[in-house]
Amino acid sequence: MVADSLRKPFLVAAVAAVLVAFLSCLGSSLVSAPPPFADRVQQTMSSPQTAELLDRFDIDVDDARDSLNGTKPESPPGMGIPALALIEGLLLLVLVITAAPLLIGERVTGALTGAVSIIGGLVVLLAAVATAIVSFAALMLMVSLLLSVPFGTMAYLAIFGSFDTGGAALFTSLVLGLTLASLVLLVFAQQRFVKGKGLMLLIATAALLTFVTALLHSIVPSFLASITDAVAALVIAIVSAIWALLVFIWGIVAAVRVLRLGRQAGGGSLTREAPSGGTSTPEAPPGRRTRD
Amino acid sequence: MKKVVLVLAMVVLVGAIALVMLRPGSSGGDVARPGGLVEVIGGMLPARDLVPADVSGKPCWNQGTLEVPPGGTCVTPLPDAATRMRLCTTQGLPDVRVQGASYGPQRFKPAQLDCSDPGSISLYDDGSRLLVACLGTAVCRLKLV
Repeated sequence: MVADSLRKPFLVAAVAAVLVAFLSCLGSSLVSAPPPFADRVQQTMSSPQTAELLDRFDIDVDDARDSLNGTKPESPPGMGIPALALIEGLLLLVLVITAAPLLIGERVTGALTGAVSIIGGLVVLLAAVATAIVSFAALMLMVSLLLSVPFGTMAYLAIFGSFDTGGAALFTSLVLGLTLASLVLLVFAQQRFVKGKGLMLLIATAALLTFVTALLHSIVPSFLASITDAVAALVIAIVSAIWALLVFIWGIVAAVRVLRLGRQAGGGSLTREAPSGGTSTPEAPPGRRTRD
Repeated sequence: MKKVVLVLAMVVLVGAIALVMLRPGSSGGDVARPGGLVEVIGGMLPARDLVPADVSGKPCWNQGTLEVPPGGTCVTPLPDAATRMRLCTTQGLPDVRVQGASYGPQRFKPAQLDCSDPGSISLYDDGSRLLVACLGTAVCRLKLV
């Protein structure tokens, strides 16, 4: 295609695209809020599904309304897209670790790479475990409510039945688009990025998880979307935890290498200079290029 | 070989995108029979029936039978571990409710508590209580089955 020299603007744009994707995931719950609970109760009472339930189980409309009015107002949790922030956050971390030496030089970043990977990996790992626990608990609650026909089912419909699938589709499309854009921008920045298997696998994982989330929101009846959203959050949390553990281990390996080099150099410079012309190879992150 | 894999990957990708865009099955659906995934997850949930030992020694209860005087009301706190209850009316005209901490009351008509075909009452709420009021002039008797 073209000479394989680093084009910094594309690299910065790739990092920016992942940053925007990460922030979009985190901020999604602020943008798309469900309708007020009273409206959802009204909507549930007037839905044909509820009418069928009342008819099938011989329940009075007033009893059903009493039951829903006595329910604590809660909102559908919407966990799938915020959970994508875990994998996008990891991607951002790895991308920054990969890009920083190329942009600001290895002398500054070399010693920090391991520490940043350890801290970032640990933070994401803990967040992923917490997300997995919360999404599993929410999943069990929603399923037990839905299967408790007829009153539990009505409560489920009022609380969790109005998942905003349209808004979710918008966010998943945006996040998937930004993730794929970052891949294209990385290739434009330097084709050797494609050879970095770790980074490519992480981008593929982020894209796949986003796609799976969109798929889980789409292929079920809309009243089940809250449940499949929790399933998506659980899957994302587990996969992110595995990736976070890998980043954490890479960080430890990198830190050990830096410490060994530091001892060998007798407290001198810990890393070598980045080669001029920006032709260094972006290999699997982090903990690379610390060895002479 | 590489070309075949690439073409297959493209076909799968286009199919998957079409699936997301077309959203088959996103409308309708039977809420009482969600099927598939939900049933599988539901099968993993703990399930335990309310047994006479859970209510022994509680007011109005005697060996798995609840007796409420005419015009009276009996309130029985139910253990959180129990996830369902089979209760049927052997005598009288009771008004039966189950009320918990987070969700509204479940109310059951006498016909729904027929001993020839006792239905299962789901105890999905924390801190559930069974409230039985006897509406008629005769003593109301209900039993756990």
